[in-house]
Amino acid sequence: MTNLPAIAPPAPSPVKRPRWWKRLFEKWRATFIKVKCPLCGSSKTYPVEGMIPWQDAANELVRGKWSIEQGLTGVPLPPSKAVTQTLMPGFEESTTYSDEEHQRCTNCRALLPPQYWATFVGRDVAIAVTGAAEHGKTTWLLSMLNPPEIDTYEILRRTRNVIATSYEYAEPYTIEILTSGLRTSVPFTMLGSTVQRDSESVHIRTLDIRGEHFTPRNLPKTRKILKRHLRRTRVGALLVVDRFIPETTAAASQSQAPQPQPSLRNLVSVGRTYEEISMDLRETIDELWKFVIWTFLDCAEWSPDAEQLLRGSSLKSDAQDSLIAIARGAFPDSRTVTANALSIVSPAMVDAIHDLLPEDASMSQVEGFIALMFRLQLLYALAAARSPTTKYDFYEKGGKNTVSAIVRLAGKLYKRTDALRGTGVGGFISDQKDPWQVFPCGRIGDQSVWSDLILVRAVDAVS
Amino acid sequence: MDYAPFHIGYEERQQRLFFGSDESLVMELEATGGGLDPEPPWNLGGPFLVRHQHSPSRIVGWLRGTNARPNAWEAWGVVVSEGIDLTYWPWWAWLLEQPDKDQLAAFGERLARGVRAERLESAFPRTTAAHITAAYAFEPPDGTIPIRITDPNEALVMPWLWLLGPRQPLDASIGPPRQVPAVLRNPLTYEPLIEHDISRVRLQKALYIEQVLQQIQLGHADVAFDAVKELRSLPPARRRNRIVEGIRDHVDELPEPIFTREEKTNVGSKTDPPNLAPNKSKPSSDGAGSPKDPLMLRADIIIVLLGMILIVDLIGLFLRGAPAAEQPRTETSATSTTAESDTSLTTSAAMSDTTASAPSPIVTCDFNDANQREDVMRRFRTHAATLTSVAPSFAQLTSDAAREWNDTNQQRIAIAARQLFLREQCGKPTLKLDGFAGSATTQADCAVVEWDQIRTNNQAALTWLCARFRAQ
Repeated sequence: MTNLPAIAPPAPSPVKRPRWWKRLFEKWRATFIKVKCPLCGSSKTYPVEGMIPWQDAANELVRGKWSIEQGLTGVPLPPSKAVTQTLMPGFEESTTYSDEEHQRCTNCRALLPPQYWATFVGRDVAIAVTGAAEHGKTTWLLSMLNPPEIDTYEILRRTRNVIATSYEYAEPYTIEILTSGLRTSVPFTMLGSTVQRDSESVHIRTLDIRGEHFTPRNLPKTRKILKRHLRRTRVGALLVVDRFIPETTAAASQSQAPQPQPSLRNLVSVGRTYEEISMDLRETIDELWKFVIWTFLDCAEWSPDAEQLLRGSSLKSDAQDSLIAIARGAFPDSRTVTANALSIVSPAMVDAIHDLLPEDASMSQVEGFIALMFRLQLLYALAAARSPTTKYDFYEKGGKNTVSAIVRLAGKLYKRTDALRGTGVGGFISDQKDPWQVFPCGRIGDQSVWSDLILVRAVDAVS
Repeated sequence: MDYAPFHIGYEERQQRLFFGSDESLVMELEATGGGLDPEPPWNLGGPFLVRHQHSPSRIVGWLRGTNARPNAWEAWGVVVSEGIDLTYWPWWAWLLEQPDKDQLAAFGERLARGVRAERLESAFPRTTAAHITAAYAFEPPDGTIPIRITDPNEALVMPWLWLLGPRQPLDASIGPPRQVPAVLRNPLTYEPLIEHDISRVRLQKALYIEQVLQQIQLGHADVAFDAVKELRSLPPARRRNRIVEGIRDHVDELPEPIFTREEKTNVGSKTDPPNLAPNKSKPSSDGAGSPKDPLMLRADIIIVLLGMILIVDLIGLFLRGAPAAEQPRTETSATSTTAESDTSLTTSAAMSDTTASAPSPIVTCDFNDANQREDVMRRFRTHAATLTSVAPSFAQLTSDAAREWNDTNQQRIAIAARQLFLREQCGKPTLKLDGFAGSATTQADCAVVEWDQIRTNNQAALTWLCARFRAQ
């Protein structure tokens, strides 16, 4: 296996703090103007009545300002079956009260999830997610917002304590259409979900942004929409979804084209924009997290180089043997997992693996350690599921230390991987005053792995 | 440069510009490219022409859905600046069928230089005339004119519709075939919609535009250019009247742009054929479509009188005891002055294959009528005596002939013969042709349309075909 050439990440340029009058203005505006629609900045909505066919709804949208605000020439059609069978909330103003109320923006007529306009009891969190095409952004979002049918490998799911439910529309599509794997080419999609933890509720507004809209041409508008989205909230999160590309795939790609993938070119631009926004909004927002959602970690494979590195460590030989057996083997599941394997997942063990990885590790070594880390994530989830208490209690009683250790390990692995592929975003995010965290995710078949990590943080933050 | 070729496809998990200079095209075509059928046979896609969102230039190319991911698409073509006259685009549409950089450059070059084709190579689907006439008959004051197509190859109707249709080509736009209408901020002028149920698509004879297309296809390029020019130079109302005059009686009955299979020969236009010759003065029938035209009224009176004479003759014949079965079967209108004696396939075997300058009468039939169907099949079997015994080779032969023969009418006969055979056979579950029986059924349904295209003066070609397959 050949290592990819190590390219030094570009030196991060300092992000300037905005002037005092600008910060004052932002604070004043956040206090007095409650922007509800991030798309056009309108603060007014109206309730609508009735349901109409998808195509009628789409025709109404393109006639109004919605398509102009989105920068679209029209609405890309979903499969024809979905077009004919899907109903969307209408556009006529409702005069009667209804339990299932839908509201649209008065200006651009976009359908806003209740989390954008309703006055709920509870706390709210605004999340903005971006990522290149097919990096697993929509899949991750849907796994996070909608409770999956099988949630064995989640941190909190399958527990009575924490339940997430999402608004079923993400205009111009529905959650059902998105779940079918449709390639969404709409630049800005608004989703809403509510997480119930015991008697408390956390209302999450999510803005899904296409990665292509961080190019210089579209950046001013994207920045404006992002700010509108975050201005109303006390807790916000800026997420970028990045895909892990195994060494074999990356090498094949490099041999064809020496440049980094075009889809990755925007990542630094995303990072810079997020930093600028967090500087702009620091007066109006209590907490603003910045995370990398690292997806497709299930593609990583254990390597001889990683095994050699592990063998040369100061870990006990039986611990080495156990780790190698875990990393070499198939993904553990609830039927085959052994008590010995479950016991190996501890904060101390994860920290030891963290320290073992050298700063100049090769791609082969890094990939092997990613494979090992991913299996440790699975083992943690299985241990939580076997716990006599709920997963949430397991997390609260010590589990969070293991999760934090794995997140730290993921950060180190991501930084090194990124340095090897040469996009520079890994260096950028770790050199910030408030370094970004990396959330490791993946999928096994139809099951998502650790997609609810952000929910854990959200629940923790508002508790 | 007045034109810029481009190619967009799905690669590295996203829509990418493979070549071309305008990155914004990807976003611009998202809505037009989304929702296209990626499954065969509709994954062939079709031509499109739209105006650029941020500039007066236009985008001409080809668009199709791909299987890489739901809603992935591929597009290629050229962006042409505003000053370029696109009149010749339909003639060069064949250069767009593959995403080949050299071909696209050749296409752009020909548009930019206004190159006329010496020989008009680009054919068009046989239903082109019917679709164009339908568009005229349907034409709403504004909005999209939907075109219902049943075959992927019919997507090639669209460039001709753009050129010859009721809307000004300068403002008109077209798109590829799709199952449901596109949702665009600037709706397409003509939109091909896929119709799976062939029985819902009714095609009506459209004589005038058929003759224009025949000139384009068979005549010299200059003749064709002038025919198009003349048609386009007519005021919209007069052009519409001329094109739909033959189906004028049925316009009110057509709720959407579809045609009836029930054949009605265009009597009015037969007696007053349009003048398509380039060097002749304006045809006298220019205003013939107007119901208030005194010349037209006079012609109507003459036709009615001739019809009455014919009826009196027939009654006399009947009274003299002539057997009705011996009368040649014809579906052409009783008032036709030219068609009735030519419609029998059995009586004109020795007829020479002359490419008449005057419009030829058209063989008509209705396959929904059991008697008529049997009649046509009986005539066909008269020539094709070995039809049942050499069925597979016959199907192969006609298929090969359709590909190999250069003459358009001969090709039509071969295709029609093959499809007649398929229609006969498609009810049999064991039939295996083209891989699966469904395809045979679909093709067989097209036989009605194909058969309508055969002109009796090509009887010699039919005879030749029969002789050929007897030898197999």
